[in-house]
Amino acid sequence: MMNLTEIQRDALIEVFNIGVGNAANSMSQLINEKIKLSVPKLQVLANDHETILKALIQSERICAVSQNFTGPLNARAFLVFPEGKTHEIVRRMIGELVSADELNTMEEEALRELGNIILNACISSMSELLGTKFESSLPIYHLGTSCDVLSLDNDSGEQFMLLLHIDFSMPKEKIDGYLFFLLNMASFNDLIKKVDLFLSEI
Amino acid sequence: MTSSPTKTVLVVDDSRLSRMMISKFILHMQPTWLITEASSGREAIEKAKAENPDYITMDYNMDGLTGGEAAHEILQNAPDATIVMFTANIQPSTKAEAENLGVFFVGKPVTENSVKQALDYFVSRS
Amino acid sequence: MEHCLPFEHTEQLLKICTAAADKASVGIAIIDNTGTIVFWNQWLKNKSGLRYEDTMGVPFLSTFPELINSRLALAIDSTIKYGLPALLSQSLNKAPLPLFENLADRSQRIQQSIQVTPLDYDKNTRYCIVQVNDVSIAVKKERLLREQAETLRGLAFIDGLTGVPNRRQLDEYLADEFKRATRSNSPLSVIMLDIDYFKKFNDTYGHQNGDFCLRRIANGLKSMLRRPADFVARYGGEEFVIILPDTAFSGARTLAEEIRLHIESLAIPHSSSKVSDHVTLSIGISNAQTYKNITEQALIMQADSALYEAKNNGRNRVVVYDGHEIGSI
Repeated sequence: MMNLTEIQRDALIEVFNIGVGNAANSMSQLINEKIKLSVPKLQVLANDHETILKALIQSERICAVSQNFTGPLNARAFLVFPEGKTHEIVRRMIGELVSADELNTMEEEALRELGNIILNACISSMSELLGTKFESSLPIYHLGTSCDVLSLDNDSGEQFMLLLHIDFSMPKEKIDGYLFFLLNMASFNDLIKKVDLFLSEI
Repeated sequence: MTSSPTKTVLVVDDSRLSRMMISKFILHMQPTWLITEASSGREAIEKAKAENPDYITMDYNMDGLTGGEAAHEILQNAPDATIVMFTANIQPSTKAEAENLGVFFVGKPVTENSVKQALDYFVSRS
Repeated sequence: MEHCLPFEHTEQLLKICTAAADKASVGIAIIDNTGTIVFWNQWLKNKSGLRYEDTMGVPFLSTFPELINSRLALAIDSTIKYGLPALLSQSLNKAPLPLFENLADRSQRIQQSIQVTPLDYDKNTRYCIVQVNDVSIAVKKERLLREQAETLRGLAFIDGLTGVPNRRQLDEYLADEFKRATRSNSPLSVIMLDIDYFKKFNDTYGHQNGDFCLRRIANGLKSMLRRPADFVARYGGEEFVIILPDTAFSGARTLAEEIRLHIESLAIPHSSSKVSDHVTLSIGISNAQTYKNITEQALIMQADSALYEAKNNGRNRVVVYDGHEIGSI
């Protein structure tokens, strides 16, 4: 079940491509600047997350914003940045005229909003394309090791992870962000079923 | 929409799924039209030159050339080309780029409705 | 008294809920799936100055045309469409709604943090709740705290990293002591010191360890000063300056050598140092005895050139600036 067919993968990438496009639109409204987007890259990961995460993020500690989505399938979605990168991102978004102290106090809530924009946009796109409805929690901010943040230790059964790598480039700053969607086996299968149903109707 | 005489459309998108969907909706509305596909900006420029299609739908975010760059080059070769920028990149800056190029902008997702917007534009330009 | 089911009557419940929403000290607006305002609570009425007929039953964007295509409008739109909650932080959104603490003075908007939450009334009808929190006080408090912290830092002239006085305080202290020494014609010594190969240390152990090392050195220096008037400051980077009032050359030289040995004995590993396995210091000393042709800046410069000499002569040593001669001990 782990392996996606090319067309399933294509469908999921398109879902996120549209989501990220919408998110970039909201972000460009916020900062009044053009945002360049890369085509998202998708990977499906099984349980051996840790090494993969480290390889991808190259940082022990990460900063993340998460939302729990419930509906036809349940997922916990994370927007993840390596620790230390977030400062510049927020500075770019807030403007140059803030002091470092001010930036610190603003950083957490600014990142929560950024996460909210991106995660909502992706889930909206999924719900539009696959014809499903989701409910969501408000965004939660995390800072810690990737294991702690993604709660990889208390594995409740087999978990799957959709990993998307997206680049948002602002005129002077490249945001290298990762989106993780953590799903259990049942939800992962439900997602694939939804994708197949959608594909069968084309 | 009234059925028009046979036209050719070049569908440019790096996502196979998007190409499939765009083609499906076009053929649903215009069963006699002929569709060719390109999966990159570079390929689009080649095919536009070789096949001289009546209409082109162009994705924006693609590896290599962006849709904007590809459209620009196609218009250099064929100033009368009728192009729709069909993209998930719905930022004002992308819309403005499309406008500057003189191409019509339609936002994704690919739905019957969004494809119809593109076709309405094509037909209006005939 | 008999217990009655409190919310048996829908009408009663409606009244209570409306009253509660009006009593709330946050802004609450409810917008329907056509983008029309269907509820605008008392708090919002008070802060916006809008009349009942400006809001109730009026499209949100007709009431606030400035918000067309704004982040708030997009958030409301997508919450209605997809049923996902949205968050607008005050850091990224500068007071989106025209709300004022004092309606007579509209120059300053209330700082807002906004939450947009979907409310599914039934299968086909979705509303969204726009909750507006006044964070002006929090913002003001933050600013105040920041200013206070800056004032405190400014007054204390303390180097944040090492906790010893910074260069600003050094300048003032030296100026005062120099004047005093001039008046009383007493000797004044200045020690300037530098951690050997500190850049390599940072490269090898990382900046965090570099900071830690600076703190240990600073503490080590403080512990070596004996009299209340002796003064140590971080001069910049990995350089420290010690001011020793009423101290002649010999005393300064003895202390400098003690400091050098003490820091060496801390045995802070430094594998990329070319002179030792541990962190070591190069030290320069200058001294003023008579005050005819010297300024406090010159005293610092002399200590600096002695330090330069100490480095040139192979580091991990003390060099004194003695008149025009420089001699190693």
